[in-house]
Amino acid sequence: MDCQNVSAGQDRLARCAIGSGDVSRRGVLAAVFVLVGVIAWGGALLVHRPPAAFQATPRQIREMLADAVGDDLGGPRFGKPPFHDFYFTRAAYTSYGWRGWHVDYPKADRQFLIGLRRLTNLDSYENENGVLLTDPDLGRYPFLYTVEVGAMAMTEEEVQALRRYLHQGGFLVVDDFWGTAEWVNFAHEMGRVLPGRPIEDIPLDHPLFRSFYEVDEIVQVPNVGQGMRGGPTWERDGYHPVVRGIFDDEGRLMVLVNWNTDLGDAWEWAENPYYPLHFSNYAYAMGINFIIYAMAH
Amino acid sequence: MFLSAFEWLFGSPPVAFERGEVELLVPWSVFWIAAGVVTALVFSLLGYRRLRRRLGTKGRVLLGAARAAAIALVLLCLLRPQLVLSLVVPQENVVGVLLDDSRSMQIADADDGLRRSDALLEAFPDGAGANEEPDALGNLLREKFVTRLFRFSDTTERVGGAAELGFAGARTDLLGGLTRVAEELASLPVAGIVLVSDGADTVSGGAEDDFDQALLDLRTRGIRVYPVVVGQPEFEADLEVGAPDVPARVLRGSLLEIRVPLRATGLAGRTARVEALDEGRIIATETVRFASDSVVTAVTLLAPAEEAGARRLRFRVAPFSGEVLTRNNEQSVLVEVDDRPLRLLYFEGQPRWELKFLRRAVGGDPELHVSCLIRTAEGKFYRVDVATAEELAGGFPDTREELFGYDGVILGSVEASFFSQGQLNMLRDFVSQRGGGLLTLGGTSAYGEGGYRDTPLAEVLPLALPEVEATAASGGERPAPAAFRELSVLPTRAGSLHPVARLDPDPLANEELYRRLPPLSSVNRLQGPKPGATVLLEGLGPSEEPEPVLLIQRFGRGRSASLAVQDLWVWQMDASVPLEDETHEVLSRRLLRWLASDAPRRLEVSASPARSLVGERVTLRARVEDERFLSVNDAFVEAEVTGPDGVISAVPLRWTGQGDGEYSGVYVAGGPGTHQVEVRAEGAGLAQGSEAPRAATLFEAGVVDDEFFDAEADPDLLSRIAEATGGRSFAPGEAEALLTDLSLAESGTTVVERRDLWNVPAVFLLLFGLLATEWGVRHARGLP
Repeated sequence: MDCQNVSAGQDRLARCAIGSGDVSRRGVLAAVFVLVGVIAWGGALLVHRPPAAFQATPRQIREMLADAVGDDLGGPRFGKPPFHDFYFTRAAYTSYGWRGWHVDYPKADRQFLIGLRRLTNLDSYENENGVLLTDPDLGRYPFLYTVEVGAMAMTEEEVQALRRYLHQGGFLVVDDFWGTAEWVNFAHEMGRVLPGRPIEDIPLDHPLFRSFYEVDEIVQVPNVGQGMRGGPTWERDGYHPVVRGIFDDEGRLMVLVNWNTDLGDAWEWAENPYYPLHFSNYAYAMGINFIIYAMAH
Repeated sequence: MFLSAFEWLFGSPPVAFERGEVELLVPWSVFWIAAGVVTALVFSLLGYRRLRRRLGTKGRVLLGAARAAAIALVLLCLLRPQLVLSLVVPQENVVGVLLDDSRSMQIADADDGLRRSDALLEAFPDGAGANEEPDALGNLLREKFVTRLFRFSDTTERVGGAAELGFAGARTDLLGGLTRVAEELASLPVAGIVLVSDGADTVSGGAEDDFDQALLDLRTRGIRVYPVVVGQPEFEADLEVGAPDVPARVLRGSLLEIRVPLRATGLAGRTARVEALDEGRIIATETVRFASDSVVTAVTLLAPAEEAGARRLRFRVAPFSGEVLTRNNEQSVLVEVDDRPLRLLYFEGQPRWELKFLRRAVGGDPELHVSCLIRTAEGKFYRVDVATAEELAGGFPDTREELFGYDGVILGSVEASFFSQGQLNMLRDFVSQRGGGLLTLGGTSAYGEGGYRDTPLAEVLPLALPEVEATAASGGERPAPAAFRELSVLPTRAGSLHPVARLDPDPLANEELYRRLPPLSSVNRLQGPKPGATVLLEGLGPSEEPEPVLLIQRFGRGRSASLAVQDLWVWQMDASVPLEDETHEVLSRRLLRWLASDAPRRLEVSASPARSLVGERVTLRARVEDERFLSVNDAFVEAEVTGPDGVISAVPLRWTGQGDGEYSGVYVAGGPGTHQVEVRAEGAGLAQGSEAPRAATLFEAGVVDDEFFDAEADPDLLSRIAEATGGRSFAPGEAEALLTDLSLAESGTTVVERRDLWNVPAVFLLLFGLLATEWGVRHARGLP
């Protein structure tokens, strides 16, 4: 467009703007479409392959571990006396953003171990034991606990290591993830580890619920904030707590899924007088049952 | 040669001097004889006194002695020495002739390719041409004696001639034959028994006490036995497959360990391939090379027992060229493959991964049922895989009835103080009396660390416990860090041959399999294997000496095994172990099967012999015990024998009165084939009705091939018989010598014969020699 007169030019400018209004409405629409398309495409890419900048490298995970526990880098400590029959092992995996395996770590683990060692005669190591899924010593710890699997985004190496671990007889307990979106992500990740294996509800008459304590209902354990405020126990759209599992060909439980509940927070804040005792009691009962069951089946 | 020279020199064979007595006809007293000899010596020496200077002392003594001896010999002859013999009267004495009629006489092992029976028939010609061979032993005997011929194999009977022998007897019963003939001839004057045989006794083998007693009886009655040995004591080239060592009953799915003895003669440098067949299908093979010409060895075959029921397993080696006997290259044996699951109890003092992974390892084995009891807190137990709601509801069993219901017990990491003294005693009795298996695992509360050193259970363990301060308590106190050590586990030589630890038949490959596995750990200080224990696996740790890791031993009626490590499960979970690796599963299953499969049941039955002849008496024996595995002597025990034709016979078994809980009965096998025996017992202390204890076994009736095993002639056994009765062994060609021996019998109708000895060539030659010596010396010294 060519506008030479200033006044006319102003008028023209106005007209140009008005005149281009017809043209640019289509352009704006097109730009919006393109933008939405780019966002959708980018989002899809994010879901399937998070950009490298978002992904914690094993080194970063180790550093996080080290930050969390100071100089004592949790596990693996197999072969280094004193030997213990049991190590409460936290599985460290790659995830999106800030959420991930290290939530509530290590306080929840330490608090739970105090209860576990006091209530059972299990010879358990008294400290937390964070281990990378790709650690060559992973198999020395046949019980794994991890949280926030709604943000899980395992690397291929981690997927293979976890698959091998579970097929060899390892036992994985997941906890603290809420709502449909996180479930979809977790189910997708488990589909990568154990393709074709359904995640099934575990009925209350399963021996899991009676291996040490008699548990006759599934309780929704809220996070610490909601628990202390006495607010709703759910997060996002995770209204109903569920215990599910993935079984192998012989019907043996490999993965135990605690969805829409946060046992970890109930252990972590069990000493806090404002956190309801019945949630902590339930969480300890469930945790101990899981371990006793895992060590017998 | 020697014998004939002796007879020429002394006028009689040596046996005549053995049996007869030398007497002097002129009865001079010993004093006068001695005085004469001394006088002759003195005179001789005096005669040479003057010649001292020329002869020297030695020469004088030599000449004097020669002369004195000559004089003494003449003096002796003047006394008329005589040999007094007792000789049988011709045709007035009986000779029993026992002819071996067994199948081993068909073996053609003579140098000229003739059979043993040919040698027998040649010695005892019968029929038309009988009299054409006057030198045959049979004819010579008939000339001088009344002969009674008997044939013997498993039975003995009188025959008219050797032509009646068929050489088809299934067994050789030397003792039975001799006893029978001695009885038949009891009222007759018997000069002796001639026994023509290869000596390959297949009934007693000369090993029983009865055998020596029977020979002593014959000697007492003055009956000498003169064996005539036919056959070679060693074959030129032969391979014999011995009776395989197989348990009568195995668990389905088990790896059957079969030890097959082999005896090879003249096969140095050759290789034999031993095959095990189940219904014509090869289930295992093993190769062995013979280093020398005479090899006695055994190969161990590991064969899977896959199908339940009675299985006939055959073991064979293809015949070698030039083998004398090929019928001994094959053996067969009946095995009952049982599909009743073994019941084991696994008790852990605290939750441990060992339990989870052991359960997983044996979970796929339908023959193993492991009930688990875990103490999860003080006084709190978790039961897994229990068969009924009541099982182990009260914790660890505290009655014999409950504990003895299991075939095996596994003790994990649980301190000794958990058990009462009664329970510890009961656990020991579980192994020693009930015959169960006990497996102990390493752990913080096991062995010395668990305070077991001075308990009854320490006796049962295959390893010795050192004095350590028991650190264990409920809740799993940790032992001192110094005790923790990692051990790289390898099989021992015994382990490479044992069905538990032998993962590959090739010892080197077997070792390599273990070498690839990650090290295991132990927290227990152990002193080493007890005498009598076998170490199957050992571990190399920080110390230079390997430590025992898996040990086994028998204890009383049962078995005991100990694992020194605490984490066998690492062989399942470690990242270095391939997913498809089955070492942990295989080792665990085999160990538990081995541990418990031999545990006797409350009712056990056996049939003897397991391979019988048709019409032979088969003894059925049963052992009856009650719920507490205490013997029951007043039970009603009955066997049902199902023959090959489907006919069922009831055989009552009665208490023998010789051993507690032992019953027996006799069944006569009516037809050839496999007979199935099912026994049931009823009575006080025993379950009733359908729960009544039942047991089954098998035996085979029909052709017995015993005669072709261990079939070499046994001249030693025949010589033993001869010596024990005062007779002598002969070869078939020594008929004359045998006749001489027989003629000198002391039993039967005899006459006394005196033979002068002064005129035998030996006396003349000796006298001549003495005089010639004297003369020669004198001549050499220039004396007259």
